[in-house]
Amino acid sequence: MAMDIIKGLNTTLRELGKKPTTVSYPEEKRPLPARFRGRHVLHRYENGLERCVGCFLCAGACPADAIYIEAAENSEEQRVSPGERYARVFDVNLLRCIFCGYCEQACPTGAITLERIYELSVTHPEDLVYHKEQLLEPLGSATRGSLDAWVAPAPDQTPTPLPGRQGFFDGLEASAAAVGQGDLPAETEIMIAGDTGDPHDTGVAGEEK
Amino acid sequence: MAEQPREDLVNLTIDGRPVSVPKGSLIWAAARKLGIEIPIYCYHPKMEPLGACRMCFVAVEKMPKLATACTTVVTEGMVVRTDTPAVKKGRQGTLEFLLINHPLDCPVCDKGGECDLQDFTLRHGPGGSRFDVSKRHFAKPIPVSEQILLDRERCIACQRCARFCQSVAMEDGLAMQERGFRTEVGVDPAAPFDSIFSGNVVEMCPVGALTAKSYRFVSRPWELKKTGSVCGLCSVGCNVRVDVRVDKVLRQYSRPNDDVDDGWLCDRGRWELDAINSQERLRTPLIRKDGLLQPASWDEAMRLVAGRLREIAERDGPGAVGGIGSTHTTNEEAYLFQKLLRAGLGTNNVDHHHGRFPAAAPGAVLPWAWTDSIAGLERASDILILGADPYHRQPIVDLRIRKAIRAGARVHIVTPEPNRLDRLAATVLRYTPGHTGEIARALLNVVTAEGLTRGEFAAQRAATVEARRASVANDTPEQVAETAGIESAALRALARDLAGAEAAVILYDEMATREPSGATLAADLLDLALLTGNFGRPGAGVGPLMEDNNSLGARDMGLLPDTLPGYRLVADQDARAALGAVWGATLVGEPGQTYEEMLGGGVKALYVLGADPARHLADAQLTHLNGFEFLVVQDMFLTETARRADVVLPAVAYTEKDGSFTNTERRVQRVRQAMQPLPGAKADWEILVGVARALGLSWRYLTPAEILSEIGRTVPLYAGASRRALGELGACWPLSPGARTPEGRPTVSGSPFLTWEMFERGVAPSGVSGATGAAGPELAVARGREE
Ligand code: SF4
Ligand code: SF4
Ligand code: SF4
Ligand code: SF4
Ligand code: FES
Repeated sequence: MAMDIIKGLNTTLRELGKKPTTVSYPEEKRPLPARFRGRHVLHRYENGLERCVGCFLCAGACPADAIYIEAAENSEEQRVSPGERYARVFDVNLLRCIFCGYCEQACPTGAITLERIYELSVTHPEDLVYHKEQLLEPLGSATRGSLDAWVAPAPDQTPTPLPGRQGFFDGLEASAAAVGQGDLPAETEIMIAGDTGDPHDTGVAGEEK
Repeated sequence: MAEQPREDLVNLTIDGRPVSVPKGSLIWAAARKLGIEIPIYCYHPKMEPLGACRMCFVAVEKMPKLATACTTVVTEGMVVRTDTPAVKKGRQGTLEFLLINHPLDCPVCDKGGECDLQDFTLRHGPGGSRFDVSKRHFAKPIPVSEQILLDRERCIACQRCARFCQSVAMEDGLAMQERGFRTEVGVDPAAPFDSIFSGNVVEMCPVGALTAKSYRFVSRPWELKKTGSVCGLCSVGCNVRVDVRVDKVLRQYSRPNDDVDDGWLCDRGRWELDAINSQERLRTPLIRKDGLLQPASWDEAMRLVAGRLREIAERDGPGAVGGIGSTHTTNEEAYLFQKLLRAGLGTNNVDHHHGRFPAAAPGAVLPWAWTDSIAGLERASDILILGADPYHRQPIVDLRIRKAIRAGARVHIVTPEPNRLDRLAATVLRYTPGHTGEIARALLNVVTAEGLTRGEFAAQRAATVEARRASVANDTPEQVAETAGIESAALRALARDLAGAEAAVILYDEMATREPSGATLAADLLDLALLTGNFGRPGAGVGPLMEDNNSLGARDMGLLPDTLPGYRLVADQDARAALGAVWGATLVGEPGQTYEEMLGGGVKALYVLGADPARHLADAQLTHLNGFEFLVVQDMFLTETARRADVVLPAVAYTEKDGSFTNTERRVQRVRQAMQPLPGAKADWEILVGVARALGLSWRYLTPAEILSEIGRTVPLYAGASRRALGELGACWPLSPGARTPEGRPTVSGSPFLTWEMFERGVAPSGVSGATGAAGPELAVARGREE
């Protein structure tokens, strides 16, 4: 009995000298791992256009049905994202979200990531439905967020599916290019060697026109 | 379908599994029967095989090379494999080539999620690409019609769209242009693509090369709630899949029913759904207070309606109240509406806006409906379109006529206006609008005067044929040519054609009977069909093309002042007693007021359900609508009529409720709720039950299915109808209860065509049949149909 008490006290005395595990939040904050999954951020390209093309894939992947999107068409006057399509409405219901990160995995353009943002207390539940304006990174900023922590860097000298980008391999950039050239300069010329662009020129010498 | 005789079946094995299919089937169809997927792009089950895409490779024993399953006809003892390495390699090769120039912009492509290129690549394709040079790019998208966009980068040149335009729609439209790797889809600027069938190419394009403007970037397949139902936009009643996202109907896709739509839809049904999604829809009952319509609660509104109707009926007699029903609401709702008036208020003042069809003889059954079916058109040798415009009004009937033309039918277009079928017709005749009736009589004149009558029917009734001849003796084509401005010789030739036809179908527009000359149009054309022997078998018949999605159902359900549900006359003591016993009421035997009489001020209180009579009234008559002591309007919108009402009850669209419609070929089909009702509005049947209860009736219907079962018990034409028995595809009335399926589901059997015996035994439509009167509601109809 007495031995047990001494043993216990011994542990107490040993621990007394150590630094505490807890931190004194909010004055002090814990460093978070790179792959921490907090609130979503929507990213932009260097040229300010939104990466999101409103494809609904994140919403389709979401097990909690937390994402609601309404897509619309870019016009010459009002261009929001590269290519044809953008998300006019993008709501994430953080009350439903289980922070699984599937949306980030599903996104073909690297537009949505889960960031180290966890201070999400509000007084009204509806305030936890985040709208596009709240999720989008500010104009002038063009980050990739936690993607860098998730996506392996491209190997050097990889043959590429992406025209004009030899040696560059990144699934995201490739699909971003496909859906609207990403942040690459748009290439819309007909790209067949020797093609004159004239549909009546069959390119076959001597063939009847 | 009848059991196939043994010698017509071919036995083969696919992947080691035996299967028997009819002679002449393709390997693709045989594999499908076994549930084995053979990927296809150029092939479409509703079109001739082409064998262009090379996607459907299979290995057939004793054939040196891979065969295309979409062009190879099965033979006895054939051994097919779809899973050999050679087949896999073949398919992978085809897909790799298709993907070389495919932009792979799935995330912004409207087909994404329901794309055959995505799906087949996933299931049969290579994992990657060996193509590392630039893909070709085109400006995109380019509009090819008002409604459709083309993305040439995505096209895999399967030619389905071009073949649809040329060989199914038989209209100007998409065509393949250029050759080789430059092959692309395009439109001839001189022949724009403005067909009402254009939307089908969007559905059948295996990739996202053709997409709909109205659906552009609107949703994704996985976001949609898809419900099998029936289109409510016209009287064809095509079977559709209603695609809803949250609270909006985004589109209707085909839910193939070979008997009705053959797998196609018209653009109206596909895209013209704005009314359902409209912001203008009523969301609360309105009651007129201080001269203004003001929002009120359902309880208050229903109690007011019941109270005032009762009060006026008690004060001035039941004849002082009346109801105008709808050609858009379900059968269940039409049935309840007339039941409310007949059993609840004790009046036969119930009618709707409809064509003019002669009243029946006492005790007779007179179903004025198309005696053949839509599918029956394919067997016709001659089709007469008299004063109708199926292309605009019943588009999918028009499309079936085109199919009949391909099968060899000759089409005779006799209309006041140019018709889209003119180009394909054997006869085209124009006449002055309003003279349809005279033309029908002229045809009858030629047939009787020239002794062209044919068939058993005419042979047995020399006296009545003679009487009929006398009745139209003055309506010679030459006479009618003067008044109706039609070519008399051509009209005469047409009558001879019909009389000599192997099997002719005569179709007219329901509303042509409302013309001044149209009083006997329906009866005259029925006689024309009877006397020329074009009756009582598939491919021969006569009938009106109805106006709205449930025009026929409204008649069937007794929204008529002189007939009870199922066309039994209100004067018929026995019918009244039988129905009264079920309804727990004594029914009145006096026919009620007609549509025109009620609107002309014949009643003091009027209940208008889902109709807008103001549209049919001349401006001078509009004031009549203000003259009612009490006017109730039940509708989705604040219509012209509703603006004049004392109480407005907001109803919902057909996509928001269950029920059934009866289409123009007498097919009773289930309508299913595809979305939540608009908040604040209620389904018509629910409102009617509420009003009935407020009237003190003990109606206990909880679902439309209960009402349909009651109809199945009380209406002989609909005998055995119930939600479960109608199943997915419906059946044409007269219905009769069928055997239960092995799973225990009740069924009904329908009657794809009506025979003349029923007219002989039941009705004397216009003197020709020489019937001596009533044989009761028993119908002698041919059951089943030869396949
Ligand atoms: S993190 Fe998971 S639950 Fe949250 S929005 Fe993304 S997919 Fe949905
Ligand atoms: S998956 Fe990416 S691009 Fe697509 S809607 Fe979501 S965030 Fe936008
Ligand atoms: S547009 Fe579509 S349907 Fe037409 S050829 Fe191209 S892939 Fe086929
Ligand atoms: S033909 Fe009529 S029923 Fe068929 S889709 Fe068109 S509008 Fe609807
Ligand atoms: S589907 Fe058989 S060749 Fe195209």
